[in-house]
Amino acid sequence: MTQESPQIDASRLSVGVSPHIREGEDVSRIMWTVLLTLVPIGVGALFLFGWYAGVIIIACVVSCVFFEALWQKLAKKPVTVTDGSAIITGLLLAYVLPPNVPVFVAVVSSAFSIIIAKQIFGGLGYNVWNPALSGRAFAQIAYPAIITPSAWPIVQGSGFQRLFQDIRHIAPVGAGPEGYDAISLATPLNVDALKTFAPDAGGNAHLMYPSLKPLFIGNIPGCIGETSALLIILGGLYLIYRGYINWKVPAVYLGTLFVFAFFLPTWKIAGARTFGGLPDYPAALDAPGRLFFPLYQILAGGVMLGAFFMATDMVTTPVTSRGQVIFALGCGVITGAIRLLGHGFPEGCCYSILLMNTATPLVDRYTRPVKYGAVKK
Amino acid sequence: MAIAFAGGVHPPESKDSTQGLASQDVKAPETLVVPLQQHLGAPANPVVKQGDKVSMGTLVGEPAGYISAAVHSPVSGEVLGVEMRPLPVGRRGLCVVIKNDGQERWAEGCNAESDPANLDAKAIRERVRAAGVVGMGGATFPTDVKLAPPENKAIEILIVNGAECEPYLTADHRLMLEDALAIVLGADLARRAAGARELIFAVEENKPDAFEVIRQASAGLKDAGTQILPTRYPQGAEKQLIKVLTGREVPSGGLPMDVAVLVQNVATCAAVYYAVKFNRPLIERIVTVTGPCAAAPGNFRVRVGTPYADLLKVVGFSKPPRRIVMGGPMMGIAQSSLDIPVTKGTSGLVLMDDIPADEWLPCIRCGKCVRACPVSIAPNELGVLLEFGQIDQASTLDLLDCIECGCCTYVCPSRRPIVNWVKAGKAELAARRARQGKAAK
Repeated sequence: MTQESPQIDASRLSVGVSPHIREGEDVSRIMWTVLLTLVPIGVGALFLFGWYAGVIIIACVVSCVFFEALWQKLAKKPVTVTDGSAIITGLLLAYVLPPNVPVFVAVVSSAFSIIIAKQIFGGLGYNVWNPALSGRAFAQIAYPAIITPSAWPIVQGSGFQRLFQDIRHIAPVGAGPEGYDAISLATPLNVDALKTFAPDAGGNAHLMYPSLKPLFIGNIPGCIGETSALLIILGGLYLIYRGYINWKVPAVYLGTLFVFAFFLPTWKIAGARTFGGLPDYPAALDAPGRLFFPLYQILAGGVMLGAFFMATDMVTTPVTSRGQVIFALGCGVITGAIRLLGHGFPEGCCYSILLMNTATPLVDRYTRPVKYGAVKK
Repeated sequence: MAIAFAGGVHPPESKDSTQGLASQDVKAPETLVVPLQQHLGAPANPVVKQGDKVSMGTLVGEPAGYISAAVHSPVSGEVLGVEMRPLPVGRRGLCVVIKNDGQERWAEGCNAESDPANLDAKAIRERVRAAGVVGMGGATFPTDVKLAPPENKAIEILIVNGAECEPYLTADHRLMLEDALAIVLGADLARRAAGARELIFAVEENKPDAFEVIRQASAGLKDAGTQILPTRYPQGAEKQLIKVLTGREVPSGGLPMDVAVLVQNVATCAAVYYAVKFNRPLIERIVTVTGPCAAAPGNFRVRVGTPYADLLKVVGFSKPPRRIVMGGPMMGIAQSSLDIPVTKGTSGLVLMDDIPADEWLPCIRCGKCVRACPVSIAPNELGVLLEFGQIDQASTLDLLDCIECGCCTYVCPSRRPIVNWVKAGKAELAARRARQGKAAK
């Protein structure tokens, strides 16, 4: 079937290099998908903490984008804020700041996240530490009084919130101070705050923990985006379904912390001593209590957000599945050590991930796949 | 059962428009351009000059050294000249330009049947060499050289590669359906030449009909088996194929013969058969012409030396292609002119419409390339090093183990041209070593 001679101008043929087809995945699609999964957490925060949480979220996002564009303009580099990565940093930073933080702290922390933690190192792809967590660590050091958990607001007020309010009596700890009839939890992980007592009918004071239900739903004090395990898990599951994060990372991170917290009271009971001594634990735990404490540890504080959205950050964590598991294991151990063995901080998630970020090149080096043909000739 | 190789990708196969169509003969054009280098190794030396009369199978270029291949006239006619012309590989090279007289006359002694039953290994290899047979899967390594392993490297297994894992290409598929006996008998001859004991015919599972035909055709052969392979690119890459079929790994920097295995493409085996049995030089092959811009895609039996323009007249364009790729879309080479001829290694022409953008972003360390890499190296790290010219460091990081399959670049969400950097890095490394070698002397 001879046809007309082809009428094309061969000089206009494109001569790019192979491969000539692409899978179709691209960076902005990954970034915008991650963003999408972060939105429900922010919306939930508005319900849980009120409109001011929204002000902080907007302040962080706008400042992150602004500082990224500003830096790139000054450095005469292409402005890449449309890739969505600065927006993600802004959202995540807001989510790890307390809901009553002043706006200027949000702005200064955003500047630290973007300029110091990200752009100084070469921008997207080259940063060593998670930018949002770097900003949070900066805020914690620069404004300790503001970031201190005891300064955080108590969840109370609206009917919606009261719907989920629930307090669980864990263990009688002997006679408590007179006149307690309310709970003043600062943050679930502030150990001192946990020494909260409430009298029962017989006049014995009880150590109080929030029950698992508000911990899961998020109706507890905490940072803007860290309290609702439910919304975090939903977003994380979607990212796992899309193949953007490795399910093993949250599983191993949370699992390690769970095991850590499960066995620690046993040591305590057995009279084991670790460096610095141990904080007080609900020692005489009955069987449901034994499960309660580790569950409480993975649901409270920032570890859920960290496990799904920070320890899975592509840029600052290892590239192989094996490396990612080691990373997650390290995060779990360090978080457990800071929270349960230490006295300084109630929360260890942020520093555990930053420390493991530091170890990422090393982990990458020792988990590189064995190349094909790496055998003796 | 076949074990899986690490990594790999599964791009859309895009074979439906051609795999069901029988191959058609394309009439030899009026003028043919026959490159003297259609193979790896030294270009052949021209043995004809302007005005010489040639026939089909007349030697026009003789091998220049051991790793080189003979080149023959694909038509009868007259030599118009020996000139520099553009080659498919993106540079110019010496070509014999032949005016076709349309007589289709074979040279004396060519296309004459003989019984190869009594030929020894050396005699088979000599006929293969005389016929200018090279690897037709695309690598175009001289086949006789491959069939003559050094004395300290015995070959046990000859694998006949019918994987055809590149998207779009169906030339091998059609050959297996249409000329299975030539493949099987050619493979048997190649086995004798290489001194191998076992034959394995391997076909990807997306070609069950070809698998069945090959299985039946090879049923009578001793120590010969047929294996179905998962459809996964680059299943047909030599090292991956060996791993999947034998469990052996070719050592880094080594050759298949280091693990006593030899791999030959199905079309090469058929060419060996025609060379040995009929004394027919390699002057024709099946070429898949397809792609979103092909009006009448199909498989075509084309004389070597046929300029693309003549072949594309038969196919026609449904719309003007933005890129013409020689070979498959994963490893093929974009062509810059329609004057370039079909060679012994031209498995297909893909007329592309959508082409990847040239811009790329920084590596976000997503790890997709590491998971996709069939040789399990770290393309992400190689890419970052090579992007910034760190060739020494890259060479300590398995640069030379890369098989350039393109999987990393195919999956990269940052669209980083990693394979291109690797090719450039390897070339730079080779140039440096050559300079050092000269300096040492």
